[in-house]
Amino acid sequence: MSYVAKPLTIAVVILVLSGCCATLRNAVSAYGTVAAEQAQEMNGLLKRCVSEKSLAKRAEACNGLETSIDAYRKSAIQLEGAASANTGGSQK
Amino acid sequence: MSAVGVVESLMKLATVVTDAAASNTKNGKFDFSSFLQGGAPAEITSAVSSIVGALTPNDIQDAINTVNAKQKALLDGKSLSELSTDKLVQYSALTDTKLTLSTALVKQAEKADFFLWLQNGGLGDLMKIAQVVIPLLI
Repeated sequence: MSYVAKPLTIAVVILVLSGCCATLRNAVSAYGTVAAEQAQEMNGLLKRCVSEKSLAKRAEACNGLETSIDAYRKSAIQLEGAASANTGGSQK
Repeated sequence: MSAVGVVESLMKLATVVTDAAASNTKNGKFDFSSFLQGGAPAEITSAVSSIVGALTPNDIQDAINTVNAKQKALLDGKSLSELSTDKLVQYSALTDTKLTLSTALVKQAEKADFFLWLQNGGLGDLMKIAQVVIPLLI
């Protein structure tokens, strides 16, 4: 890659990553909406995990719940620190 | 770009970042942004540029919208509590996908943290959702 092309490539990458159309605040807000939705579904899965009469369906609900809890936990950890965007704090 | 295309592109990017981290980590530290700006082989900067240039925040948002539409089709006018258990599990897997895509959007807005996310867990999350969700979205 030429001396001109590489800095240009890096500039394009940084420009795209700057997310001209998706501010951090909007992204965090959208994440919160999905997280609330997922919490509601986990509640539904928990009820099926406890009350399904069929053992196979109960296992299916319990496994689905476990997967969702794991996804919820991991994403919450990964977004630790982004919360300041919602309080008007400085962005990273 | 289709929802499946977005997941695939994120996985390709995560693979490039993870591979670079595996061979360039020193003293337990690796910063992909710095690596890109100094010393990254041309094929890596070219691959990253190609993927990132084609993957906009709007593409990720469109993918989330596609998942929303699939969820609406699964509901078919019913409430969540009226869904059969297998459909409720599918519905929930789609929400897991939205959560991962929403995390990608936040990380993309946080600029440098996007690569760190891909390196430190994003790839694993994407592989997990891809196995479950791509068959539902195709």
